[in-house]
Amino acid sequence: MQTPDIGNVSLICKDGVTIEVPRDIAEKSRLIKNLLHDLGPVATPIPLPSVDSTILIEVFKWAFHHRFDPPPMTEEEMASAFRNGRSLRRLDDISSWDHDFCQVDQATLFNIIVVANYLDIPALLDLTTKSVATMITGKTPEQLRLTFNIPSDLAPDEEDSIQRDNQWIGN
Amino acid sequence: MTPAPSPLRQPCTDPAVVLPADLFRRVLLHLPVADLLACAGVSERWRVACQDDPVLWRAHCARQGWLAPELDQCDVNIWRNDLSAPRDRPPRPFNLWRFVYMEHCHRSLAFRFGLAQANYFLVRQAGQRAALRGLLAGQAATALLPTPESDASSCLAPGPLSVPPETHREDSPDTRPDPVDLFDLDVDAGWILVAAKDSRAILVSRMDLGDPTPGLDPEEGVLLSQITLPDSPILRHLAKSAGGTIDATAVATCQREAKASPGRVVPPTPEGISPAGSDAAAGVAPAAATAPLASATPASQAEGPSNVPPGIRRLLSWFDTGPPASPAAPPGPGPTGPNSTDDLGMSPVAAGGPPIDEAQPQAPGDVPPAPPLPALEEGMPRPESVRPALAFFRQLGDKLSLILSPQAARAGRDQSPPPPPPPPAAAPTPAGQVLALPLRRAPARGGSIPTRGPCLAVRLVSLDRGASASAPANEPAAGRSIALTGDSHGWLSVTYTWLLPAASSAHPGPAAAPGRDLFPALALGGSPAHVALPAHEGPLVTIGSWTRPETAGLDTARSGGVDVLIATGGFDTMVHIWTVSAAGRTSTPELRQLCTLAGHASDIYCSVFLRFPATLELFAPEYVSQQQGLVPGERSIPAAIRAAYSHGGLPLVMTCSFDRSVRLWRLHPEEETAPTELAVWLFASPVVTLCEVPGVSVSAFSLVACSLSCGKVVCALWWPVILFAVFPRGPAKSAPFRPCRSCSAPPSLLDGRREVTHVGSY
Repeated sequence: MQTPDIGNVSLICKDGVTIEVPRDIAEKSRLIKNLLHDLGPVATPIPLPSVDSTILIEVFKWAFHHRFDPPPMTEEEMASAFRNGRSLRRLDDISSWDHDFCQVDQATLFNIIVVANYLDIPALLDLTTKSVATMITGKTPEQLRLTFNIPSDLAPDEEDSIQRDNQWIGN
Repeated sequence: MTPAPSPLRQPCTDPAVVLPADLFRRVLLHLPVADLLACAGVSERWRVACQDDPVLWRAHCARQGWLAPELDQCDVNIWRNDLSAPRDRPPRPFNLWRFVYMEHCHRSLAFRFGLAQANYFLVRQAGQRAALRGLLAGQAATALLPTPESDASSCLAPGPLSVPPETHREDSPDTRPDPVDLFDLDVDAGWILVAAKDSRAILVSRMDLGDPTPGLDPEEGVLLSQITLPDSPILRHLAKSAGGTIDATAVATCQREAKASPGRVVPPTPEGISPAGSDAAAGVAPAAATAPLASATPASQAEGPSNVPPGIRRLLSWFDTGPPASPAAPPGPGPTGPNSTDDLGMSPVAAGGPPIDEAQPQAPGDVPPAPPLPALEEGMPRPESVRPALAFFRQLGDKLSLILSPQAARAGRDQSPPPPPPPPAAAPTPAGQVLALPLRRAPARGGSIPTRGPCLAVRLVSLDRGASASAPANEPAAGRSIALTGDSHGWLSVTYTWLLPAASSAHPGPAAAPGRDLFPALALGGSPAHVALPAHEGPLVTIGSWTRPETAGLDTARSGGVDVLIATGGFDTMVHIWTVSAAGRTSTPELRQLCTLAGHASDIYCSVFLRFPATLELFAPEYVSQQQGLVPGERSIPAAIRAAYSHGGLPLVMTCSFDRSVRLWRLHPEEETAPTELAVWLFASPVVTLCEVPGVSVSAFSLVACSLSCGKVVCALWWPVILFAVFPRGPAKSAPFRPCRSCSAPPSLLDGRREVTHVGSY
């Protein structure tokens, strides 16, 4: 039996693909970091039964780029900031590399969001949700339906009601 | 690493479907509110996520600093029923935080800009800009600016909203504000003080409203009743300012007729009906402003009461003959725009109709369809039991006369016969039109008081009311007054002046009052008659005044005490109490700050001094989650508080705030001790205004508080008290005063379905 490399972490995805990444990269995920902290050095790959390998590769691509970023906020800080609405930053403070990273199809982007949430990577979650928000902002309901291919299931009177409800504040 | 193909063969690209709710909320949290409103119209799932999620809207409130801790503990169980929705559709939940956010924006901007529907964030939508600019009709340049900062530096220099005072030129008609730019109005002794958006308060003599012409009785108050102020803030403040309403003429006319035939209110038959004149069509309003009361009657009502607006007329008929036979009357015009009318007495023009330049005369017989009055339901008193409500019309007539003409009011109190109707004027009023206050014409007397930002609140306080009372009967009220103004920068301006009758053939001016003490306008502290000081670190939005009852009208030198108390409230959560002492008629009044009422956690919306004893029925328990100081359910006043309510006692201040609390304070101006907080009422939503209402019983006076909960007017009085509520966009299409079914509100709670912002009383 081969001795596992202490510096690397093996992850096995839902589709059976095993991905081996440096430990510091893997520990960008709080989930993996806590697992490694609790289990210690493990010889077997860590199963990630709900993560697709394609998405995981994208996640680690982002993690490699942000390898030397400062550590993210703690859980309490995040919760406090989220509760007070202070975690929200501007939509346009995305770096060019991050912007290019998010230029994927919508399904991939949504899966990255889900995986980032599952792996507990706040910075990536913030980036991807912000990217989706950028796709939404400034669009009318009709444009949004076209953008995301959403059928309208609102009755005409409901649409009128929404429009009327929003009229009183100046529409 | 060997990447595998994605299992999502046919991905659904709807983020509201693909993403869990909490992740989609994270996406929405990055969006501005304008985009949230747009997203709500995408699909039902998006609508639920964007409109019904309190966590999302709480975060937006927190981002703006609008968190009220009590709201987190508030168990809101209100379902806002959409009356226009099909019956099989379940009602939507009430999102308190969304409501808080929207209402805060609405009220803040309405206070600042006088636009009840201004909303700055919607301009981020490029597609809405043109429509919004068209809506604002030229005011977009100022209305869309960011709100002024509330720090101290903003109080020292004019902010982006300010117009330099030197830009106001009395002789320049272009600088005159439009009526829609007015925020507040106060009337005292025949003078009108209005707050304008262009950084000034305008003091107008009643006589400046039009040149006296033969046949015009200036004591009739005809001119004032013909003011057209289309914007709703003015209507609200008119309602707040001691009963002066747009419909003053009509109700006062009813009052005269009621005196003529006791027990029955019969509005008069119109006289002097004339077709539309060319002056009004050309936008020349002042020429018609001199028309007598009867000539202002719409020509469309030859068959029925003429001067009475539809709401009042139907109320009268309702009280006189009972409810309409068919409760399923066709609904009236709905709240489809800013020109919607109020159902209770707001004439179409007065409640937001076209200005005088655009008003068109109505064709004969073209009576606008009026919304039906609600049918009497179980538990409501029958018409026989609401007969005492007629007394309110009489009281209203007296009150209005007091405002419009002190002499007429005194005559009314002395039970003198009503004055004869004035003869028709030479220049009759165009039929179907309500005349505009000629603000574009520089007043012959009066003037403007510059403020640093948009003037948001005004108050006109007489310092020697008794002197004017002892004046000759044919002389309009004159005397010392101080005009208080508050602006968006939190500055309080005090202007000390003599308010003298305008010079005319009947009233030649100061020279016509020999022997009376006439003094030049003195300074409040040595400088000329105008002084301004920073009072609040945010917009100063409310000014209340209180005059000592036993010394009002007397030489205050003998009293040796505080004459006038001023309460100013601002968006810095503070209520400052000021004293104005005038030791004698020859001395300069002194203004100083007495104390500060600190206790509210958010913006102050209204501060009033109590004049009458209050009862414990102040607020219905259904809408008050907590009462302190008063015993719930008790209908009498506890002894500890009863003493404070007595006449001539220590003044009481009641304040309401965005933190959904109403607080009662007792001041100690003589001992100069700290004020005492007597009671706190916590509501389910921000309380936006307070109104003192005289009750029907002998000594029962109470307050009406207007809360944002479910569009309710929370009051303490019993049914015959007739309240009118001013809605931002008019009442609902049907059943404007239907009691709330979800909470089984008693009849004293008026359900407007929409948010009630201001209330008044008849």
